[in-house]
Amino acid sequence: MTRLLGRVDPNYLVLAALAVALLFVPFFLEGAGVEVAVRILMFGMLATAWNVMAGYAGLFSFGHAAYFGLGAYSGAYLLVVHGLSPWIGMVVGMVLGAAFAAMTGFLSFRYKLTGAYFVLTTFAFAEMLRLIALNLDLVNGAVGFRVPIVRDATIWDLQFAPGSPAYYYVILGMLIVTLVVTIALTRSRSGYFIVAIRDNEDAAASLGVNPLRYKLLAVSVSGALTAAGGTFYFQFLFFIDPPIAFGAPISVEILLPAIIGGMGTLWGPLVGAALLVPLSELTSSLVRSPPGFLGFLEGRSGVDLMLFGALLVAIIIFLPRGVYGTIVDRIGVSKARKRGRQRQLEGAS
Amino acid sequence: MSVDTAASDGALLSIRGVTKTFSGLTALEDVSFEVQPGQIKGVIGPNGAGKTTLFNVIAGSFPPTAGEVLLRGKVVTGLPSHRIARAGIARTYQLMKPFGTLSVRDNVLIAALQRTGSMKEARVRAGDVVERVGLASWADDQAAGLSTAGRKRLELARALALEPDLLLLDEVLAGLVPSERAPVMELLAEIRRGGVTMLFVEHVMAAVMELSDEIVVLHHGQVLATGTPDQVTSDPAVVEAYLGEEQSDADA
Repeated sequence: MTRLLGRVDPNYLVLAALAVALLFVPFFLEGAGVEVAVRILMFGMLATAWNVMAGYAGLFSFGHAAYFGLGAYSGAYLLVVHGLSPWIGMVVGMVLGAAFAAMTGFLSFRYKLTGAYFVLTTFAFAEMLRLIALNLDLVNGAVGFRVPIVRDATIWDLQFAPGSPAYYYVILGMLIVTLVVTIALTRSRSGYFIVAIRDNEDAAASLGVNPLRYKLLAVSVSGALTAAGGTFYFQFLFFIDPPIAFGAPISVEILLPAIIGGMGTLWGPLVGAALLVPLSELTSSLVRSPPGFLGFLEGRSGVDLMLFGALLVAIIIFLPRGVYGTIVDRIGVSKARKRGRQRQLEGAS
Repeated sequence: MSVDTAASDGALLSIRGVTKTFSGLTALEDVSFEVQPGQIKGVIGPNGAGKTTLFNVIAGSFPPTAGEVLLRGKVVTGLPSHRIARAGIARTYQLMKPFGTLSVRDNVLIAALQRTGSMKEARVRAGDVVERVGLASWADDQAAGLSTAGRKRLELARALALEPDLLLLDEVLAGLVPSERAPVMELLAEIRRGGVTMLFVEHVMAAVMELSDEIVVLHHGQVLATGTPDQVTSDPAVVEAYLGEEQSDADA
């Protein structure tokens, strides 16, 4: 038994324990609480997908709305216009998300756009899709899509009564799949190459690693997973239009949990979502019905975003590696110190 | 991309008329020489002579403006660096380029993975190489935390794990204090006994003289002289261009 466990990545065990614990969450929450839980898992899943590209591959994306929107629109279009199950839309969206990520990634890598230029490119491609969707009658232009209500909906319709815990279990499953993909990737040969390229592309190439190939792999996986999250988002919120699907706000909502939690760490994005989503709920309810002394805030929009901004600045200053990332770093440093002392002892004897 | 040519001389590496200009500035001009299998060849020359440019051309960092590089008689000029690496040329960088967030062992693992499909096997091989270069106690540490001497060894370890036919060493001794040089010299001698062909750029003259079978002297991007260490050091042109000013450094 211990030999068997010894071969399994401890992260899988943590994930299994976490999954089992999360199964029981809906039993302790009421309607609105379940909704918050769904949002935590959804943004945890999206940020984990973003992290594959930005965290592990070091390709910072400010345009994940592109892949998210492709997933949301694939699901919406195929469901509303052709009556196909959102699950089919999700698969189509994932293919489109991966293909778009690979195509735009190839152009950026081919022309050696790095750093701020790469970031701007990802943003520009998402904006491009937003403008296309806005002007394309095929996808209803500015009107967007609404989920048609299905009588006696089943899991195949990916539609449940509002506040139903079924949404929770679906997104929990998607989160688990996303985390398993991330663990499997980072443990694989491709995963090691991806991180090596991030750390030093020239050195990786001179050790036989083809940088283009593994960067494209990272962006495609990230694009596909993000698109799947987009399809779910449409089913959960019942509505999508170009600004929601392809706009900058969703790009920010996807990347923020990963940065707050810790880029390039497995659990950072989920930790970030678990902190940010409730905080956002809190600030928006504060604005809806503020206590007496904060009465001037009533009905003002954007206060939650201001708080987000302030928090982000604070995190960047005090925890540049994110909440979870900082913890991991500290543990790493103390382990390294221990090995250092060990070396001194060996050297002395 | 590779083209067979009539290379009957059996050289492992042939540099033929390589010229490299950077927007008007000529870094290498019609450089030609060969490296025979098992040979240790030193490349020396004053700063700016074109030594690192030569390495970058051979390793595929950029193509030459003219001329060609052949490995075992096959043209590798213009191939991207990852394909040249897989073809059997490993290089170290003068300015070390560790994968900072990876452990020392995993740095070497990246190279070992090119030669085996098995993760387990690659880990074992990486561990062996890490031990061979004397970094075993640091195997689990992040590479970013290594000292200069440690990073030089890591460069060497990664290149060795690629199991190359030809090893390009760019100043592996530079920046090391004399007490750190001796073990690296021993390591190079051991690698040489293992039959790996080496082409190395080095400023530490004692090391060049001790290790090289043959020396190529570059000056202003051109080959000034080639020959055994004794031949080269007694060549008046070389003494004037290079050794005259550098000898005092090496003694210090």
